[in-house]
Amino acid sequence: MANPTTNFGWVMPTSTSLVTNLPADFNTFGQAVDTSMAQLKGGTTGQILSKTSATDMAFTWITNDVGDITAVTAGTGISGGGTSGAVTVTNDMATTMTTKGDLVPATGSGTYARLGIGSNNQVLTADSTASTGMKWATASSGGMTLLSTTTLTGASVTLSSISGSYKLLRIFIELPLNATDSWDTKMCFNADTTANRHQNLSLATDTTGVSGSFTQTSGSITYDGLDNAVTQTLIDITIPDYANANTWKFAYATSLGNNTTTTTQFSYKSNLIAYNQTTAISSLLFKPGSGNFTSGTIYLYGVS
Amino acid sequence: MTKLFKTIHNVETDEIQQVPLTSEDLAMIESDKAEAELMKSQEAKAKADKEAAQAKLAALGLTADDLKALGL
Repeated sequence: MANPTTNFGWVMPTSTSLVTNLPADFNTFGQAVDTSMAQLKGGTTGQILSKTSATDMAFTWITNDVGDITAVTAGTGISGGGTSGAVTVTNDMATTMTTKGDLVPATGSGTYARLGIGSNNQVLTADSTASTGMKWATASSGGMTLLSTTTLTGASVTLSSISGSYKLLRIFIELPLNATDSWDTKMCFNADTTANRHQNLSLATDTTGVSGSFTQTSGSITYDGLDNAVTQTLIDITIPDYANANTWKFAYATSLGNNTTTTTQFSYKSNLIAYNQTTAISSLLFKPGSGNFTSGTIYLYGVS
Repeated sequence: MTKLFKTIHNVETDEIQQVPLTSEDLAMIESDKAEAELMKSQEAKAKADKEAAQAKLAALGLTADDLKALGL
Protein backbone atom coordinates (compact mmCIF):
# COMPACT_ATOMS: atom_id res chain seq x y z
CA MET A 1 0.00 0.00 0.00
CA ALA A 2 1.28 3.42 -0.91
CA ASN A 3 2.41 5.62 1.96
CA PRO A 4 1.02 8.30 2.13
CA THR A 5 -2.23 6.73 0.89
CA THR A 6 -3.11 7.23 -2.74
CA ASN A 7 -6.45 9.12 -2.41
CA PHE A 8 -6.30 10.98 0.87
CA GLY A 9 -2.56 11.30 1.45
CA TRP A 10 -2.80 9.90 4.94
CA VAL A 11 0.74 9.26 6.38
CA MET A 12 1.05 5.91 8.06
CA PRO A 13 3.92 4.45 10.17
CA THR A 14 6.53 2.76 8.11
CA SER A 15 8.33 -0.52 8.61
CA THR A 16 11.42 1.40 9.58
CA SER A 17 9.76 3.57 12.14
CA LEU A 18 11.03 3.21 15.62
CA VAL A 19 8.67 1.53 17.98
CA THR A 20 8.91 4.52 20.22
CA ASN A 21 7.57 6.73 17.43
CA LEU A 22 4.54 4.52 16.60
CA PRO A 23 2.06 6.22 18.98
CA ALA A 24 2.84 9.60 17.53
CA ASP A 25 2.65 8.25 13.96
CA PHE A 26 -0.74 6.67 14.66
CA ASN A 27 -1.87 9.97 16.18
CA THR A 28 -0.94 11.77 13.01
CA PHE A 29 -2.59 9.10 10.87
CA GLY A 30 -5.78 9.01 12.93
CA GLN A 31 -6.12 12.77 13.02
CA ALA A 32 -5.73 12.93 9.24
CA VAL A 33 -8.47 10.34 8.81
CA ASP A 34 -10.67 12.19 11.28
CA THR A 35 -10.21 15.47 9.47
CA SER A 36 -10.98 13.91 6.09
CA MET A 37 -14.12 12.18 7.34
CA ALA A 38 -15.48 15.19 9.27
CA GLN A 39 -17.83 16.12 6.39
CA LEU A 40 -19.61 12.81 6.75
CA LYS A 41 -20.72 13.45 10.32
CA GLY A 42 -24.18 14.60 11.31
CA GLY A 43 -27.43 14.01 9.47
CA THR A 44 -30.63 12.38 10.63
CA THR A 45 -32.66 9.36 9.72
CA GLY A 46 -33.56 9.23 6.04
CA GLN A 47 -31.16 12.01 5.02
CA ILE A 48 -28.73 11.59 2.19
CA LEU A 49 -25.35 13.12 1.35
CA SER A 50 -25.30 15.90 -1.16
CA LYS A 51 -22.26 17.59 -2.71
CA THR A 52 -21.93 21.26 -1.80
CA SER A 53 -19.15 22.00 -4.30
CA ALA A 54 -16.73 20.26 -6.63
CA THR A 55 -14.11 20.03 -3.88
CA ASP A 56 -13.27 16.57 -2.62
CA MET A 57 -15.18 15.59 0.54
CA ALA A 58 -17.45 18.65 0.33
CA PHE A 59 -20.70 17.12 1.50
CA THR A 60 -23.77 18.01 3.48
CA TRP A 61 -26.66 15.96 4.75
CA ILE A 62 -30.02 16.81 3.14
CA THR A 63 -33.60 15.58 3.28
CA ASN A 64 -33.96 13.03 0.53
CA ASP A 65 -37.00 14.68 -1.18
CA VAL A 66 -35.45 17.98 -2.16
CA GLY A 67 -35.97 18.44 -5.91
CA ASP A 68 -38.04 15.29 -6.20
CA ILE A 69 -41.82 14.73 -6.71
CA THR A 70 -43.18 12.87 -3.75
CA ALA A 71 -46.89 12.95 -4.66
CA VAL A 72 -49.23 13.89 -7.49
CA THR A 73 -52.56 15.29 -6.27
CA ALA A 74 -55.56 15.66 -8.60
CA GLY A 75 -56.74 19.27 -8.71
CA THR A 76 -59.84 20.81 -10.30
CA GLY A 77 -60.76 19.07 -13.51
CA ILE A 78 -58.23 16.25 -12.94
CA SER A 79 -58.76 12.83 -11.41
CA GLY A 80 -56.23 10.16 -10.30
CA GLY A 81 -52.80 10.88 -8.77
CA GLY A 82 -50.68 9.04 -6.17
CA THR A 83 -47.57 9.12 -4.00
CA SER A 84 -45.40 6.41 -5.45
CA GLY A 85 -44.63 4.47 -8.55
CA ALA A 86 -46.25 5.16 -11.89
CA VAL A 87 -48.97 7.74 -11.41
CA THR A 88 -51.93 8.21 -13.78
CA VAL A 89 -53.91 11.45 -13.99
CA THR A 90 -57.00 11.89 -16.13
CA ASN A 91 -58.53 15.06 -17.60
CA ASP A 92 -61.98 14.87 -16.01
CA MET A 93 -63.34 17.64 -18.28
CA ALA A 94 -62.39 15.54 -21.30
CA THR A 95 -64.06 12.41 -19.94
CA THR A 96 -67.17 14.44 -19.07
CA MET A 97 -67.65 14.82 -22.80
CA THR A 98 -69.27 11.67 -24.08
CA THR A 99 -70.80 12.56 -27.41
CA LYS A 100 -69.92 14.46 -30.57
CA GLY A 101 -70.76 18.14 -30.14
CA ASP A 102 -70.74 18.10 -26.34
CA LEU A 103 -69.83 21.32 -24.53
CA VAL A 104 -68.61 21.60 -20.94
CA PRO A 105 -69.77 25.00 -19.64
CA ALA A 106 -69.22 26.17 -16.08
CA THR A 107 -71.95 25.69 -13.49
CA GLY A 108 -70.13 27.87 -10.96
CA SER A 109 -66.65 28.64 -9.72
CA GLY A 110 -64.47 25.62 -10.52
CA THR A 111 -67.42 23.39 -11.47
CA TYR A 112 -68.83 22.34 -14.81
CA ALA A 113 -71.30 20.00 -16.45
CA ARG A 114 -71.91 18.37 -19.82
CA LEU A 115 -74.21 20.18 -22.26
CA GLY A 116 -75.17 17.87 -25.11
CA ILE A 117 -75.40 19.16 -28.65
CA GLY A 118 -78.78 20.59 -29.70
CA SER A 119 -80.81 19.77 -32.77
CA ASN A 120 -79.84 20.82 -36.28
CA ASN A 121 -80.14 24.60 -36.86
CA GLN A 122 -80.58 25.39 -33.15
CA VAL A 123 -78.41 28.18 -31.72
CA LEU A 124 -76.65 28.46 -28.38
CA THR A 125 -78.64 30.85 -26.20
CA ALA A 126 -77.91 32.38 -22.81
CA ASP A 127 -80.41 31.24 -20.16
CA SER A 128 -79.76 32.22 -16.54
CA THR A 129 -82.30 29.63 -15.32
CA ALA A 130 -80.32 26.73 -16.81
CA SER A 131 -77.67 25.09 -14.57
CA THR A 132 -74.96 25.83 -17.13
CA GLY A 133 -76.30 29.31 -17.95
CA MET A 134 -76.98 28.36 -21.54
CA LYS A 135 -79.12 26.14 -23.72
CA TRP A 136 -79.71 25.17 -27.33
CA ALA A 137 -82.80 26.86 -28.73
CA THR A 138 -84.54 27.34 -32.04
CA ALA A 139 -83.45 30.55 -33.73
CA SER A 140 -86.14 33.19 -34.04
CA SER A 141 -87.26 33.75 -37.61
CA GLY A 142 -86.04 37.11 -38.81
CA GLY A 143 -86.78 38.90 -35.58
CA MET A 144 -90.54 39.03 -36.28
CA THR A 145 -92.90 37.58 -33.69
CA LEU A 146 -96.56 36.99 -34.48
CA LEU A 147 -98.39 38.62 -31.58
CA SER A 148 -101.97 38.03 -32.65
CA THR A 149 -104.29 36.88 -35.40
CA THR A 150 -107.67 38.57 -35.39
CA THR A 151 -110.74 38.15 -37.57
CA LEU A 152 -112.31 41.37 -38.80
CA THR A 153 -115.90 41.55 -37.63
CA GLY A 154 -118.26 44.20 -36.31
CA ALA A 155 -118.19 47.96 -36.40
CA SER A 156 -114.57 48.06 -35.27
CA VAL A 157 -111.73 45.83 -34.14
CA THR A 158 -109.36 46.88 -31.37
CA LEU A 159 -106.08 45.14 -30.62
CA SER A 160 -105.37 45.87 -26.96
CA SER A 161 -102.56 45.19 -24.45
CA ILE A 162 -99.87 45.22 -27.15
CA SER A 163 -96.46 44.48 -25.65
CA GLY A 164 -94.00 47.37 -25.71
CA SER A 165 -91.01 45.04 -26.02
CA TYR A 166 -90.35 45.47 -29.73
CA LYS A 167 -88.69 48.05 -31.93
CA LEU A 168 -91.62 48.38 -34.30
CA LEU A 169 -95.01 46.90 -35.10
CA ARG A 170 -95.81 45.41 -38.49
CA ILE A 171 -99.40 44.71 -39.42
CA PHE A 172 -100.74 42.81 -42.40
CA ILE A 173 -104.48 42.88 -43.07
CA GLU A 174 -105.51 40.25 -45.59
CA LEU A 175 -108.77 40.17 -47.57
CA PRO A 176 -110.81 42.71 -45.60
CA LEU A 177 -114.44 43.08 -46.64
CA ASN A 178 -117.21 45.44 -45.62
CA ALA A 179 -120.98 45.24 -45.84
CA THR A 180 -120.97 48.64 -47.56
CA ASP A 181 -119.67 49.26 -51.07
CA SER A 182 -117.01 51.83 -51.92
CA TRP A 183 -115.53 51.67 -48.47
CA ASP A 184 -112.25 52.45 -46.81
CA THR A 185 -110.47 51.39 -43.63
CA LYS A 186 -109.33 53.67 -40.84
CA MET A 187 -106.96 53.28 -37.93
CA CYS A 188 -106.69 55.06 -34.56
CA PHE A 189 -103.57 54.90 -32.42
CA ASN A 190 -104.39 53.77 -28.86
CA ALA A 191 -108.07 53.54 -29.94
CA ASP A 192 -108.05 57.30 -29.47
CA THR A 193 -110.93 58.95 -31.35
CA THR A 194 -110.47 62.40 -29.86
CA ALA A 195 -110.80 65.21 -32.41
CA ASN A 196 -107.72 66.71 -34.05
CA ARG A 197 -105.20 64.05 -32.99
CA HIS A 198 -104.75 62.18 -36.29
CA GLN A 199 -103.82 63.33 -39.77
CA ASN A 200 -103.44 61.62 -43.15
CA LEU A 201 -100.35 62.81 -44.98
CA SER A 202 -99.15 62.04 -48.47
CA LEU A 203 -95.66 60.59 -48.59
CA ALA A 204 -93.33 63.43 -49.56
CA THR A 205 -92.13 63.21 -53.15
CA ASP A 206 -89.57 65.99 -52.91
CA THR A 207 -87.41 67.70 -50.32
CA THR A 208 -89.77 70.62 -49.78
CA GLY A 209 -91.82 68.85 -47.11
CA VAL A 210 -95.16 69.98 -45.81
CA SER A 211 -96.65 71.46 -42.66
CA GLY A 212 -100.17 71.64 -41.34
CA SER A 213 -102.66 71.02 -38.58
CA PHE A 214 -104.08 67.86 -37.11
CA THR A 215 -107.74 67.83 -38.05
CA GLN A 216 -108.88 64.21 -38.02
CA THR A 217 -110.10 61.57 -35.56
CA SER A 218 -108.47 58.66 -37.41
CA GLY A 219 -106.12 57.86 -40.26
CA SER A 220 -107.03 56.17 -43.55
CA ILE A 221 -105.18 52.99 -44.40
CA THR A 222 -106.97 52.26 -47.71
CA TYR A 223 -108.33 54.19 -50.66
CA ASP A 224 -111.96 55.18 -50.24
CA GLY A 225 -113.24 52.96 -53.02
CA LEU A 226 -112.91 49.27 -52.13
CA ASP A 227 -115.40 46.74 -53.40
CA ASN A 228 -117.66 45.02 -50.86
CA ALA A 229 -118.08 41.73 -52.73
CA VAL A 230 -114.71 40.96 -54.25
CA THR A 231 -111.54 41.20 -52.23
CA GLN A 232 -107.95 40.51 -53.06
CA THR A 233 -106.96 43.35 -50.78
CA LEU A 234 -103.75 43.49 -48.79
CA ILE A 235 -102.84 46.24 -46.31
CA ASP A 236 -99.33 46.68 -44.90
CA ILE A 237 -98.76 48.98 -41.91
CA THR A 238 -95.50 49.75 -40.11
CA ILE A 239 -95.33 51.68 -36.85
CA PRO A 240 -91.73 52.48 -35.84
CA ASP A 241 -90.57 53.05 -32.23
CA TYR A 242 -94.16 52.74 -31.06
CA ALA A 243 -93.30 52.11 -27.40
CA ASN A 244 -91.45 55.33 -26.65
CA ALA A 245 -93.27 57.86 -24.49
CA ASN A 246 -91.55 61.01 -25.79
CA THR A 247 -92.42 61.51 -29.44
CA TRP A 248 -95.42 61.87 -31.69
CA LYS A 249 -96.13 58.65 -33.54
CA PHE A 250 -96.73 57.77 -37.15
CA ALA A 251 -97.51 54.77 -39.32
CA TYR A 252 -96.70 53.97 -42.93
CA ALA A 253 -99.72 52.38 -44.59
CA THR A 254 -99.83 50.90 -48.07
CA SER A 255 -102.79 49.05 -49.54
CA LEU A 256 -103.82 47.48 -52.80
CA GLY A 257 -107.39 46.33 -53.31
CA ASN A 258 -110.23 45.86 -55.75
CA ASN A 259 -111.85 48.98 -57.20
CA THR A 260 -115.49 49.22 -56.35
CA THR A 261 -116.59 50.12 -59.92
CA THR A 262 -114.50 47.63 -61.85
CA THR A 263 -113.15 44.96 -59.56
CA THR A 264 -110.41 43.94 -61.99
CA GLN A 265 -108.98 47.44 -61.54
CA PHE A 266 -107.10 48.53 -58.45
CA SER A 267 -107.61 50.90 -55.58
CA TYR A 268 -104.20 51.89 -54.22
CA LYS A 269 -103.14 54.11 -51.36
CA SER A 270 -99.82 54.80 -49.69
CA ASN A 271 -99.70 57.40 -46.99
CA LEU A 272 -98.49 58.34 -43.57
CA ILE A 273 -100.80 58.54 -40.57
CA ALA A 274 -99.63 61.06 -38.01
CA TYR A 275 -100.67 61.11 -34.34
CA ASN A 276 -99.87 64.09 -32.13
CA GLN A 277 -99.67 62.27 -28.79
CA THR A 278 -96.50 61.07 -27.05
CA THR A 279 -98.04 58.17 -25.12
CA ALA A 280 -96.60 54.75 -25.95
CA ILE A 281 -98.82 52.80 -28.32
CA SER A 282 -100.47 49.81 -26.61
CA SER A 283 -103.63 49.43 -28.68
CA LEU A 284 -104.82 49.95 -32.25
CA LEU A 285 -108.36 50.41 -33.46
CA PHE A 286 -109.42 49.50 -37.01
CA LYS A 287 -112.78 50.47 -38.41
CA PRO A 288 -114.43 50.87 -41.79
CA GLY A 289 -115.31 54.39 -42.92
CA SER A 290 -118.89 53.20 -42.79
CA GLY A 291 -120.72 49.90 -42.22
CA ASN A 292 -119.29 46.77 -40.61
CA PHE A 293 -116.44 44.43 -41.29
CA THR A 294 -117.71 41.12 -42.61
CA SER A 295 -114.44 39.24 -43.06
CA GLY A 296 -110.69 39.58 -43.22
CA THR A 297 -107.77 38.88 -40.91
CA ILE A 298 -105.32 41.12 -39.04
CA TYR A 299 -101.85 39.75 -38.36
CA LEU A 300 -99.92 41.75 -35.77
CA TYR A 301 -96.15 41.24 -35.55
CA GLY A 302 -93.59 42.65 -33.16
CA VAL A 303 -90.22 43.25 -34.79
CA SER A 304 -87.11 43.09 -32.59
CA MET B 1 -132.42 44.60 -36.32
CA THR B 2 -128.99 43.12 -35.64
CA LYS B 3 -127.31 44.66 -32.65
CA LEU B 4 -124.14 46.50 -33.63
CA PHE B 5 -120.97 45.49 -31.84
CA LYS B 6 -117.26 46.12 -31.75
CA THR B 7 -114.49 43.55 -31.35
CA ILE B 8 -111.74 43.89 -28.75
CA HIS B 9 -108.83 41.45 -28.95
CA ASN B 10 -106.50 41.42 -25.93
CA VAL B 11 -103.22 40.54 -27.60
CA GLU B 12 -101.56 39.61 -24.31
CA THR B 13 -104.21 37.12 -23.12
CA ASP B 14 -105.66 36.32 -26.57
CA GLU B 15 -109.13 36.99 -25.13
CA ILE B 16 -111.60 38.25 -27.74
CA GLN B 17 -114.72 40.14 -26.69
CA GLN B 18 -117.63 41.41 -28.79
CA VAL B 19 -119.09 44.42 -27.05
CA PRO B 20 -122.32 46.24 -28.01
CA LEU B 21 -121.72 49.74 -29.35
CA THR B 22 -122.30 52.54 -26.90
CA SER B 23 -124.03 55.80 -27.70
CA GLU B 24 -120.57 57.36 -27.89
CA ASP B 25 -119.52 54.74 -30.46
CA LEU B 26 -122.62 55.45 -32.54
CA ALA B 27 -121.94 59.16 -32.33
CA MET B 28 -118.38 58.51 -33.47
CA ILE B 29 -119.64 56.56 -36.48
CA GLU B 30 -121.81 59.51 -37.46
CA SER B 31 -118.88 61.84 -36.89
CA ASP B 32 -116.69 59.62 -39.11
CA LYS B 33 -119.30 59.76 -41.84
CA ALA B 34 -119.44 63.54 -41.62
CA GLU B 35 -115.65 63.71 -41.66
CA ALA B 36 -115.53 61.45 -44.71
CA GLU B 37 -118.15 63.56 -46.49
CA LEU B 38 -116.22 66.71 -45.68
CA MET B 39 -113.00 65.21 -47.05
CA LYS B 40 -114.76 64.05 -50.18
CA SER B 41 -116.27 67.48 -50.76
CA GLN B 42 -112.89 69.12 -50.15
CA GLU B 43 -111.23 66.78 -52.64
CA ALA B 44 -114.00 67.39 -55.15
CA LYS B 45 -113.70 71.16 -54.71
CA ALA B 46 -109.89 70.98 -55.12
CA LYS B 47 -110.32 68.93 -58.28
CA ALA B 48 -112.93 71.36 -59.65
CA ASP B 49 -110.74 74.35 -58.78
CA LYS B 50 -107.78 72.75 -60.57
CA GLU B 51 -109.83 72.02 -63.67
CA ALA B 52 -111.20 75.60 -63.69
CA ALA B 53 -107.69 77.02 -63.38
CA GLN B 54 -106.45 74.81 -66.20
CA ALA B 55 -109.34 75.98 -68.37
CA LYS B 56 -108.44 79.60 -67.68
CA LEU B 57 -104.82 78.91 -68.57
CA ALA B 58 -105.86 77.22 -71.77
CA ALA B 59 -108.00 80.24 -72.66
CA LEU B 60 -104.88 82.37 -72.29
CA GLY B 61 -102.86 79.96 -74.40
CA LEU B 62 -100.79 78.81 -71.42
CA THR B 63 -100.10 75.41 -69.88
CA ALA B 64 -98.99 74.24 -66.44
CA ASP B 65 -95.49 73.77 -67.86
CA ASP B 66 -95.44 77.47 -68.85
CA LEU B 67 -96.16 78.40 -65.22
CA LYS B 68 -93.38 76.09 -63.99
CA ALA B 69 -90.98 77.73 -66.42
CA LEU B 70 -91.87 81.07 -64.85
CA GLY B 71 -91.15 79.65 -61.39
CA LEU B 72 -94.82 79.89 -60.34
